[in-house]
Amino acid sequence: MPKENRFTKATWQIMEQLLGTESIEDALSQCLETVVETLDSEAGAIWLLDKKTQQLTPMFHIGPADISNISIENGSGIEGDVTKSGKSVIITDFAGDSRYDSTVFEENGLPVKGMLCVPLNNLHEVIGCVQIVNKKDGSFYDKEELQLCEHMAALAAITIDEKGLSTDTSEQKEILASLRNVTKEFPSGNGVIQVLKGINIDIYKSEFVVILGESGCGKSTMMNIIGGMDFLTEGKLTIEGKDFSHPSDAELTMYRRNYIGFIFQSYNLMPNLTALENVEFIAERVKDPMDPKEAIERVNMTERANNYPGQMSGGQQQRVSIARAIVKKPKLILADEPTAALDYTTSIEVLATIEEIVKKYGTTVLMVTHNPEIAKMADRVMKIRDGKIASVKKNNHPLHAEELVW
Amino acid sequence: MKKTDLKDALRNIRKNLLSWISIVFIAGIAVAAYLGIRFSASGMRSSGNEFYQKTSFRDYEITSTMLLTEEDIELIKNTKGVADVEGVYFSGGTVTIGDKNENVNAVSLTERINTPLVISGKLPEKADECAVEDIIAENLGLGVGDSISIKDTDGNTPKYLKDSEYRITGIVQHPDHLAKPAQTPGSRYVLLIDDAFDTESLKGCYMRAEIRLDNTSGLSYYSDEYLDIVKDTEDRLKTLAQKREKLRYQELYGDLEKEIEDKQKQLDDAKAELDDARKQLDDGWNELEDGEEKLKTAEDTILQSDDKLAEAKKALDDAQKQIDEKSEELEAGKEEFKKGSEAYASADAELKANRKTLDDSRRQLVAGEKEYSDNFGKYSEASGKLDDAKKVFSLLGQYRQKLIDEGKNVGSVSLDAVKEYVSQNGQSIPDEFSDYSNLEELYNGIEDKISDLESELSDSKAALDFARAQLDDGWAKLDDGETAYAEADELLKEKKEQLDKAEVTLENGQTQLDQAKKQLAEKQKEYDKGLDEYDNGQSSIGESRTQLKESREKLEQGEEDYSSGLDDYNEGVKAIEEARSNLAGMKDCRWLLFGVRGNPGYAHLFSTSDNISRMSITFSLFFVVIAALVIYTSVGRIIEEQRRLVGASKALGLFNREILFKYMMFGVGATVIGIILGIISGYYVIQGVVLSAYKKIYVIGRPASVIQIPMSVIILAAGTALSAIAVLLSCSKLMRSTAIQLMQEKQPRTGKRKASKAGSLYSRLIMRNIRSDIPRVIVTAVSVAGCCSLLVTGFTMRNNVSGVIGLEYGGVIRYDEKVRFDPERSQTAKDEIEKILSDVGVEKTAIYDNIHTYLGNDELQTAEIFCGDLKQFTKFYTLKDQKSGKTLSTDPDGVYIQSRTAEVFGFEKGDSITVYDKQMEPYTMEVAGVFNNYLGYTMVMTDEYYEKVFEKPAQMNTFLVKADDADQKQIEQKVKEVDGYESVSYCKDEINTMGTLVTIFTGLSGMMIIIAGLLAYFILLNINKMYISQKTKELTIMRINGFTVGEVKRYLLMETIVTSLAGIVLGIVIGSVMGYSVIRNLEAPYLMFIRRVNLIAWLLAAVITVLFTLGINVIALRKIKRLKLTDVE
Repeated sequence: MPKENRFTKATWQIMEQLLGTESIEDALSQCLETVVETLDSEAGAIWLLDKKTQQLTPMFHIGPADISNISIENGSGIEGDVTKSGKSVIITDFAGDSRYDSTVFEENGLPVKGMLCVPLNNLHEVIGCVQIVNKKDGSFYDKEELQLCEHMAALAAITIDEKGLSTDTSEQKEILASLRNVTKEFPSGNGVIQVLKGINIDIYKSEFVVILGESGCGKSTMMNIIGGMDFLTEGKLTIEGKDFSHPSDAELTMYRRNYIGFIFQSYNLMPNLTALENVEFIAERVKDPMDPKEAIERVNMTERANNYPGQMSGGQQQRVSIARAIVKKPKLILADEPTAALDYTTSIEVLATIEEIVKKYGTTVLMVTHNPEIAKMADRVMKIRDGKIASVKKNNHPLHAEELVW
Repeated sequence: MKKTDLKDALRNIRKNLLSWISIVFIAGIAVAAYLGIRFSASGMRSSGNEFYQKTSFRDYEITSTMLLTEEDIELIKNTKGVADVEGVYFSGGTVTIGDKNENVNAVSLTERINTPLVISGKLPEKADECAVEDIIAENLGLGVGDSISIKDTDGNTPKYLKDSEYRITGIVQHPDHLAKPAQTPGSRYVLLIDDAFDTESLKGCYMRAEIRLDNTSGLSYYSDEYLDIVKDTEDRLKTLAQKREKLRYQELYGDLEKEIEDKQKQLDDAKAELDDARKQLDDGWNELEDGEEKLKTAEDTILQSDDKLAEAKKALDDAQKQIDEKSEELEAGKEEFKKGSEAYASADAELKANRKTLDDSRRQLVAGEKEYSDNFGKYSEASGKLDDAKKVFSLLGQYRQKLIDEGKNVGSVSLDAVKEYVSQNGQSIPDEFSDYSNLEELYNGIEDKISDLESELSDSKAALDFARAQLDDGWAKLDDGETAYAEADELLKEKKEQLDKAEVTLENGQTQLDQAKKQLAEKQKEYDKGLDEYDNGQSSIGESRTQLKESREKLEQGEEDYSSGLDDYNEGVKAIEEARSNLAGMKDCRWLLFGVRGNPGYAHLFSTSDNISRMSITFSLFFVVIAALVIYTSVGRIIEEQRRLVGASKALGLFNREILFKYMMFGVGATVIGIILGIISGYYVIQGVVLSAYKKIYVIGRPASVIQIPMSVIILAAGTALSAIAVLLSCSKLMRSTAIQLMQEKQPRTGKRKASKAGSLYSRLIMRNIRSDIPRVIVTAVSVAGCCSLLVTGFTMRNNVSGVIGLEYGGVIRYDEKVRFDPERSQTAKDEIEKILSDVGVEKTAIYDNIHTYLGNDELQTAEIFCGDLKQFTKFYTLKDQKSGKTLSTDPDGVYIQSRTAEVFGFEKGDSITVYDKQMEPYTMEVAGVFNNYLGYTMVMTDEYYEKVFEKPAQMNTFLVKADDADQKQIEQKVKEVDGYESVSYCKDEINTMGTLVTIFTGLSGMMIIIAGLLAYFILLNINKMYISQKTKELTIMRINGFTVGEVKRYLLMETIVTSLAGIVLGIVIGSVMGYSVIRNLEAPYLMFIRRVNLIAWLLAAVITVLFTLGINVIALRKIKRLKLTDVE
């Protein structure tokens, strides 16, 4: 398809997305995706300005670098300059540009080669900027491309103005786990398959992150690495600042024992232990566990506490499995498709339980799912595609479990 | 069957290879153990049979207590069922080579039955040739071409043999001796041709008949069919025996009766002759008495004359002695007188010479006095001159001084002036000084003169004094000489008077002596005459005496002859009485009929192979149970794993049988392959090990391996069927379920399970795990039990067998060696050996020790009878009651038998036992008690009881010796030199022999332990793998939740510990029972093992099982570390 046509089509798409949507967040993220895709670029971000603090924060961003936790003062850096001046820029020479701030992309794992940055101008004021980074073919951006981006920014700014979008630039979040350029290779035949191709994300304390992705995209592998069940091939993993890139088996075991709670798709309860005993079994091993009975009560399973897994329904088993995860008082709960084997009602029950846990204990939950509906519950949604972070979206208004429908 | 079915089945095997291999191995081990042992038993029998076939082993053997006549042989031959008979001669003896003795039986060579198997050389053809059994050749170091000499106990040619020297032409094996002497003792054969035997003295009789039947060809001697088929003929032979025994008895009775009558007649004649002789002797004695009386009187007379002669002789001798003394005295007087006369003459001459000397001296002295007086006058004159000179000199001195004082020259003063001065002073100058010209010269000259004069005077004075002294001395001596002379003259006069008196006395003595000599000569003459008369009387008495002595000697000889004649007669009477009593008590003739089982070698192999065969059943039953269980659980697990797959297959329209094929392939395929491998390894490995163990026991060496095809096929079929049943059972649920049921998650077991609250969470979990997976747990426990029980069995076997040595030697047998001697060969042997042993200072006791046969279970059995003073004997041999363990009485009125004998043949205290002597005469003994013993076939009794039973005293032929620290070799060296010595046997050698047996059992138990190990290894590894793969998900979840590898292992091990403990307890119980059964199966009539449970075996088995289980678990548990945590959904 010729360039002009593509641009025209993209512009129409953007218009449809912005005008036709109920959720402004979804629409903006889709628009950004459209632009990044159309411009055949590696990353993109929409920055919004908090008028009170005069701080720019990324509302959405796409690409391998997780810049969720970055904020820039209005006027400084390229993003600040564009927002402040309201003028678009095409940057080709970063070394010679004093405004360029390497902490945004470079330090989050994406070396920047070319960039477009256009202001979000809603006719009254500039409320942020749109940033597109690195053409995949290595060439620089041209004016035509800048134009497409400006169209999109103009439409987006108008829509934001119409529909309203509050930015939450609360204080910086504390990082629990951080992945930098993490790759994972598996031997296959004579060669190797690279399942993770350089993941850069941060998981904050007390957030509910949902990871979406197609089968085989690497989401489970990433979660296994974070959960201490698998080793990364290259890159760096830090947990609360401690380097866990290449731990010993004993270190990993102690990490899993004390930091991580697991919830599996197929529950994996000890068949010869009752619900309560399954919880006790884990609690006995942990430094400062919750009372197993309390954990059972938390998941509303007190009545079935003395039943064996074989005597319980799937949802009940999953709730016991959640009790087993929380009894440790873990910092991070990893849930791998916890509702995949459950029907809708049961799934909602289980999700509600998880939601409650996050709220009550401030535990970070990292959940892998196929179901995009569940992502609406999340504080942040990460999409993984082909071994890389495709996008990270911040949900300013996460839904409750009961509100989900599929 | 479709191609893909086969592919799937094979891949299924590959995927579960360990389980599959386990089944292969378990089936293989079970079959190998069972068939291997069965094959071994069969191999032993077939090798035994082969040996018997080659040697045409007799079916029956008949020995008669009264020899077998030609007619007997003929009748046996004509008995229905008998194909052939051969008569045999034999005679016992000893072959000695160097210091080695070997008791042998010289046996006649048969042509068709019991033909020896030639190992080297050839069979003898001449009367001076022989063939020996290889055992003899080996023991004595003999070979073909060597010569031997067979001697009886007296060192003579044995009875019935023509000669004792033979040359060996061949080394052979004889069918009578299949087993070696350690197993079946007894003399081995030296085979000779018939001509070597003294057939004349045997009157055409044989000692033994070897029989072949006509219906046994082609049958194995060890087959049941054979043992069955011979019975009819045996009955007929028994009937014949009864008939012939009676006839033979009557025949011999008649012969003996006639012999006694003839002897009686001879004795009567002899008696008459003896009486005549007695009378003649008595007459002779009377005559002799008279002669002796006369001689006595003559002897008395001559004795009196003897005294008188002696008196006369004494008087004569005394007189002669007096004369001799007097003659001697006279001669001495004469000699003295002569010496006195000579002394007087010399003294007189000396006196006269002295007189002259005295007179000469006097004259000399007078002359000396005159000379002295002259010399003294001269001296006085010279002395006056000196005084004058001195006066002048003094005056000159004064004058000179005066002149000097006046200052005048003294030299210038003239002599005249001097003279003047002198003369003025009343002096004058002597003439001799008138030559001097002046004062000074004069003065000096006078001074010199004075000096000369003084010197001269001094010398004269000394000479004068010396002469005076000499003169005084001479005078004194002269006075002394005068006095002495006067005394000597007086003494000489006295001597002269004495000499004159002595001369008169001497002359008187001579006259008296001459008279005495004359009287003595007359007396001597008288004495000589009397002596002649005496000599004559003496010589006539001597003659009479000689005559009387001769007569006495003759009579004594006659007396001796008579006495020996009488002895002969008495002996004759005794012999005839004995012969009569023998005849009266003549025992019935007995034929002893032995079938093949009556041959110890045959019986040994029979019972040994029987025992082995029985042992195999004990083992295999156990293996079969385990193998079936393992197949059941393995297949069950695989099906459980593939549940959904099976469901899908069903859904896709596959028939049950098509699905089942895969699992049949798995279980039955493995079993079939395992069984085939088992047959092969049973044939090669197990049979190899077992048969090798027995090669030391039989002369035929290691029995040949055998494969029993029908049995193998049956086992294969049974194994296949069993495994198919196991597979079917494990698949039964699967077959009944519908496809949908199978494809759904497995429903939890129905029925409300109540969670128990007892125990800790862990113990509850483990108990529930066990409960929910009971077949697997049972198989694990049974496998551990299997391993443990085999170990218990193996160790029990080994310990209880080897423990027997300790209990027997040191416990029962407390002596160190046996010194055997032959009292018949040398009556002093016992005393001599006893002395040697006493000198060395070792404890010992003499006993009678011999092999006897007795009836047990209606067959002839062997017993070693010990008898002697049991009080002494029990210091060397423990006799403890089998039941109470109390020491048995040392004076029983009966025989003590050992526990195993009592057990095997059912003897009890108070029972009677028929025992035979060497001549196979039966006697009856009563069992006085049963003593505890493990080895051998000993019976013990007092020598009194022996005499009571056998009607003859027991001749001691053995010393039991406690060597302690003594040098046993040295003892052996010493006793070897004693005539009658037979052998020294050491308990340590017997212990070594037992050691061989222990080695066999150690080998067997070693094999069992290896089998146990392999079995346990495969089963446990398989089960562990099964268990872990079944629990993988659970374990992974534990790991994910932060359980360390160690914690997960402990969780798994906990159950293993429970099941292993259960298995060990079960294994110990089963193993103890199996061990007992095996031990009992291995026992023989002469051999008993410890039958108690062996706690050490328990302990060892438990420890090894634990180590084994742990070892296998360690291997299996490695998987925990490799668990992939990411595999969990």
